[in-house]
Amino acid sequence: MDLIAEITPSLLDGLQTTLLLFFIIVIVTIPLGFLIACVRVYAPKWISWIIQVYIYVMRGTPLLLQLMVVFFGLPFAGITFERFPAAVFTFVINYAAYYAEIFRGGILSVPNGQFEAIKVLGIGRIRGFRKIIIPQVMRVVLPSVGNEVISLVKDTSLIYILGLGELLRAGQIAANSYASLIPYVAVGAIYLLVTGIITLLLNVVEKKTDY
Amino acid sequence: MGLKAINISKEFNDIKVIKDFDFAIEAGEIVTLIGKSGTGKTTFMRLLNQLEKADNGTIFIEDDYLCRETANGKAEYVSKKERLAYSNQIGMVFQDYQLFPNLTILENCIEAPTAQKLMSKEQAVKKAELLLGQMDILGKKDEFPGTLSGGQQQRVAIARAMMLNPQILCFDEPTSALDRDTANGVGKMIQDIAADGTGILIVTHDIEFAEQYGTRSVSSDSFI
Repeated sequence: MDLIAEITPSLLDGLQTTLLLFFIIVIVTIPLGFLIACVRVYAPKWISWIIQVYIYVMRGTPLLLQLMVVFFGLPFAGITFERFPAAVFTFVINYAAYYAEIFRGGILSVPNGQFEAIKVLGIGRIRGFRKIIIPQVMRVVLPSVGNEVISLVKDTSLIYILGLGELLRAGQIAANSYASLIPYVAVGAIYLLVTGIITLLLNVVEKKTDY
Repeated sequence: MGLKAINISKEFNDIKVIKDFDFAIEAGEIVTLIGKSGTGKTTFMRLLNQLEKADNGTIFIEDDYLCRETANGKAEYVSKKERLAYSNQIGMVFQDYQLFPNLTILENCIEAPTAQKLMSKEQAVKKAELLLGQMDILGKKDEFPGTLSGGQQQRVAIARAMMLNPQILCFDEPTSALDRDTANGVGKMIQDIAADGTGILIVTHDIEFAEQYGTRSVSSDSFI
């Protein structure tokens, strides 16, 4: 128990970094992914093609490698990031690509007849999209978005490669200092607690968007 | 009163589906458009409802034009604002109804007139309740379309289209998913709407239905 008390401050410190990164990424990437999906579906072919290449690269290479390229590689091209902004930038471009594909699937799942009904009734494209199409898209994509959000909590642990002290790294340091596995158990419990709360929140959102 | 389509042509991938076709529909008429699958019946209805563009010809309802034939014979479409005036004179009930699943029955009905600011929300609700009552489906007004049967959904779709007071109301295969009794119910409802002065255009395979409820029939053989 003494050990738990001793390691708690450093673990909470790590958790703070983990959660800060998590919230920034969720808030930025979900709208950004939706925007990219709309562009891919509705923009001219050549723009859609560029987006496909971007998504291919982001999904086709490990996130860990992308972090290394951004932080260690881009300075050679004259672009230098601080550690945390480098992590934010990499996670944003990576996760936005996944969300874009999820939202694209959602948009394509809405029958063409819905768009035609909006047109025939003179509802207007923007209002129709906002009031009629987006709610249908949300209902379809929420389970997959939830998956990605939960994955994100755990993926944040990859930023150790940039020397940032997040939760898992804090646990690792504690485990080494005290020659004990208890910190790893504690870290696992904290991850479960965080993902548990997020799961409950996602359930609430899912109920709200149901019809 | 009524809709006129003059000298209409439409081709897909160099195949002429409709060529130099003239069509008119007067208030109170029930015109059935019959013919084999793939002969362009639904395409013609979609042209009238702006879901396809005519290559040639003129389409108008009274003084509101959708497109005019120019000197070189091409159909020239009017401005967006003018098209809206036209489109509110014509309504369409889709084959699969296309109700908005995330809106209640009442919300489905009031969405278009309130979006277009044609009436206040209170006026729209009042009118929707009146129409849903006439369609005998008022009891379902707060439910979502997914909980309704096909026949009930169709009645909501009719009410939704009637909200904009169209002079012309189009039905794409209204009886394709209905049993004979329900189809007869819809036929009578359509007759009531026509009796109030609305011109009805029905695309159908159902010859029996067309003969029983149509006042005039047009074959898609006359498209070419």
